[in-house]
Amino acid sequence: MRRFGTMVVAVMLLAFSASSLPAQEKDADADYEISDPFESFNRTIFDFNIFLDDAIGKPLAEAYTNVLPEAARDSIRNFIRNLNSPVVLANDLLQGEGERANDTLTRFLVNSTLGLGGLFDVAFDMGYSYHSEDFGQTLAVYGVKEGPYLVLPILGPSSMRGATGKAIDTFLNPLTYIASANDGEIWLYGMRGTSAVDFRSRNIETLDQLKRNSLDFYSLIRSIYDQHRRNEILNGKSEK
Amino acid sequence: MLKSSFYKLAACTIPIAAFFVLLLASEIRAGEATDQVKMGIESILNILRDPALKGDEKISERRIKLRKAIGEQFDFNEMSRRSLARQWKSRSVEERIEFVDLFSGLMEKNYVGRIEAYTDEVIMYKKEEIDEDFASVKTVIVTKRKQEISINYRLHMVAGKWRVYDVVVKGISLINTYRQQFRSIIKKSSYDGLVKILRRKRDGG
Repeated sequence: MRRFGTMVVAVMLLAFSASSLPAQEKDADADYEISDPFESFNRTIFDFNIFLDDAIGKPLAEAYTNVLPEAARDSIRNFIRNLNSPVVLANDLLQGEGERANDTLTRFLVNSTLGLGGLFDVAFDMGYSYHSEDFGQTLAVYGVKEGPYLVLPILGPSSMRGATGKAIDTFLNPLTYIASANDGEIWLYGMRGTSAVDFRSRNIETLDQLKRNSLDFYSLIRSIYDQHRRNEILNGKSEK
Repeated sequence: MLKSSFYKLAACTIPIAAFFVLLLASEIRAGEATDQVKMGIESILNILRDPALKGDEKISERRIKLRKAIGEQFDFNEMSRRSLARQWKSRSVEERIEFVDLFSGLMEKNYVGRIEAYTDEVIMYKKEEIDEDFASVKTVIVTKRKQEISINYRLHMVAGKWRVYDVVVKGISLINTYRQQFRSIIKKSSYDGLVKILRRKRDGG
């Protein structure tokens, strides 16, 4: 009986001291290297992308911000996000994320109707907030390794898995087929371009600051990409 | 007979009592890291709110106070050690002192302006996790544009006080981004090359 009591205490002690923080955090020497065997090639593309961004991307994003009021820019983003919902939904389902799939579907239905074709994010106010999902993340959930880090021309930081996922997402997107059946590819490219400009316009200050504060801009961006992807794959579970 | 029932009673009571003691102890500990982060942030915000310290002409006075308040919360020594990772061990004591000085100087240069840019965004304290001498305090800042930004503070216990050694913004660890940069620079040039870059960045305009 007494032994039982001791055991209970011991179990409780264990339960209370159960580790809740990742071990890596405690270990000050913890260090991991992001796989980047094509680093010198990647750096060349990275410099090229920065050159393009300085010449076209950033000025375009600034003009976009100056010309359009915030509400209009938000509506453009909402509209494009809504059109991309099928891709997010497909990946939610492929990952077995029922609740997130439900969020995406509800958002699509509510925003397409009450939100006037997706221009307004009414669903957000009803408690269904947006999340992105792509096939790269689905592959990660299925256990496919990240593979080497890649900097893609114009598209920017990615990885072998991320780039593969991006390509597959195009096939998962009904818009791809609708556009090609109606000779409307130009609209699809226009939409992608607008989405890119919108994204860039929302990160003008952040990117400037990162660049200014960086010691090695390339490895800073690589680290941010890597951490961001890890977090996305966990759907933010580690940080919420 | 009496003796055996006493033992039985004791056997039941002791674990129950222990349970409550532990519960109490964990409740005392839970929240203590959050309280410290809260107090730390408040002490910094009080400096920013102080009308006597506002404006460009008060910048040096304000910065002195900010530096002190930040220094009490952040463990720059630990931040330096962690960002250098394995390299830290190969450095001499003098080199470490020099590094901590450079790194904290760079931090101040990069981030003090951003701290000063704080207006009156809402800070919500969400959750804390404590594991022995380590803790993480999860907060969310709600910006004026209703954007939620998660900021998590990682702390460790030094001489009975929780001190921040990493800040994780939207899942991006500050120390991790520096570690990756330091590693890359050292790999391409050398530790001395890194020190040169740090000095240039800290002192540069």
